Amino acid sequence: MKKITLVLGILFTGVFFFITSATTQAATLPKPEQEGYVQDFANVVSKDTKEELNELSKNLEIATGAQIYILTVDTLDGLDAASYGTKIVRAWGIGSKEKNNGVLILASFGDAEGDRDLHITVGQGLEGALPDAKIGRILDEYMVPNLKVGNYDAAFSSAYKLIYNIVAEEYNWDGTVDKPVKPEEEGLSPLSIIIIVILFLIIYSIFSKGGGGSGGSRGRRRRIYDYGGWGSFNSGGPGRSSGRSFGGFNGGGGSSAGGGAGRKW
Amino acid sequence: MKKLVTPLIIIVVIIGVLAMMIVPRYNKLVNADEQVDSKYAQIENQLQRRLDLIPNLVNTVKGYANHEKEIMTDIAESRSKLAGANTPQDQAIANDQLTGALNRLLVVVEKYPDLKADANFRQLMDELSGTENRIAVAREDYNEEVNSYNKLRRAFPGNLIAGMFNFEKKEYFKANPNAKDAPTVDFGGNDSK
Repeated sequence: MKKITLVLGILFTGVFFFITSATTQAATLPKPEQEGYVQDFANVVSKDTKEELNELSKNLEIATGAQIYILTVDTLDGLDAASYGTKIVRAWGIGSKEKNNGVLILASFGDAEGDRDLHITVGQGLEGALPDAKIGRILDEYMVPNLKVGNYDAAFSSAYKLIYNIVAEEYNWDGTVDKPVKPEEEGLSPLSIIIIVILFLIIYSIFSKGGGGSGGSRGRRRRIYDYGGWGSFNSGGPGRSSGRSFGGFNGGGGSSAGGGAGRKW
Repeated sequence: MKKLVTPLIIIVVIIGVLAMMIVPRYNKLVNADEQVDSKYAQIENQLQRRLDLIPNLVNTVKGYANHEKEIMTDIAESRSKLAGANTPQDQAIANDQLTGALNRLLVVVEKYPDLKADANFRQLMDELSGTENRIAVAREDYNEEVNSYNKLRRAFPGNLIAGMFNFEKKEYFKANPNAKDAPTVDFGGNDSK
């Protein structure tokens, strides 16, 4: 009898290891091992932005049950961002199990072919509020232009806040934040060139007359250059430490059917 | 009397054991069957959505690139093929053809910056590639379910039960059932596997 139990025991452990090895082998996906909702494996998001977005995410989850995650990676292991994102949402269980209300903002920063890919994956529960076309517009107008010029913080923060507001509205929760600023288009627009030329003429005429009004006009000029900048959002001094107070990752068991939109960038 | 009781007990025990083997298996098969059907319904939903989006796309493109007749007939043809397909395999083939036609359209569109920038067009393309992703996900889910159903159906004692109660083999949603044969024409479908 003892022998039989021994043999059975060995068999079961063998089967167990076989099963676990089979499942781990299937998933070469990163584990959500970093703290909070911003899983920055490519190291492109600043600490301040992480803390701010973590704080927002935490509040959003408490109020609505929805989860918004950001994931940055160096490589997608040959997958396209759309299927990678869907796999992550499922593996991590982003969103609640009943409502499937998770969103994943995924961007890869590798140098290899196809590794500058981007996808925002939406759980089925939020597909109504966040249809693919809407996601596409967020990508086109906010995320891609910022990523292209290296404003990674602005890229994630702006896309995040837009989605955050839409989700908050969907659940009739009044925790919305200020709409992020749309990034300036690349290069100078004709209007700003005209303004600069006019200013130059004014300054030139002032200098050529030897007047002393140069301080004021320089100030005006600086404002024009500042226009393209990203108005950073400060959550305030005392709130700083609060971003760390919650523990590791806890996905809610949500899933996705592959909704969302993506871009190469 | 005693001589009769023992064989009776043995028969009852055998029937009992058989029932214990068969009933859970039968229920499992029914379950798997239902799972396959529900996953299939999800594919069909997305295919339908795709079919519905195409006419809008065609109209939008016509406004900008009216003389690109060839690609538009391509799209219209593969659309009607998809609408007419009935089996998973036919649908998979037609769907891949449609994906190929849409990808070729994207190449053509490069010549028309106005069309490329058109908000309506961009929305439609996002919706279309969204359905494409959903189809890819749904087809993976469906094929997984088919796989476990077919395994259940073929393994003992499932094969006996399947024979008795007429559980039929399910077809994969795959354009090419023989994975070994390299496809001669690549329609550019971008499913991950």
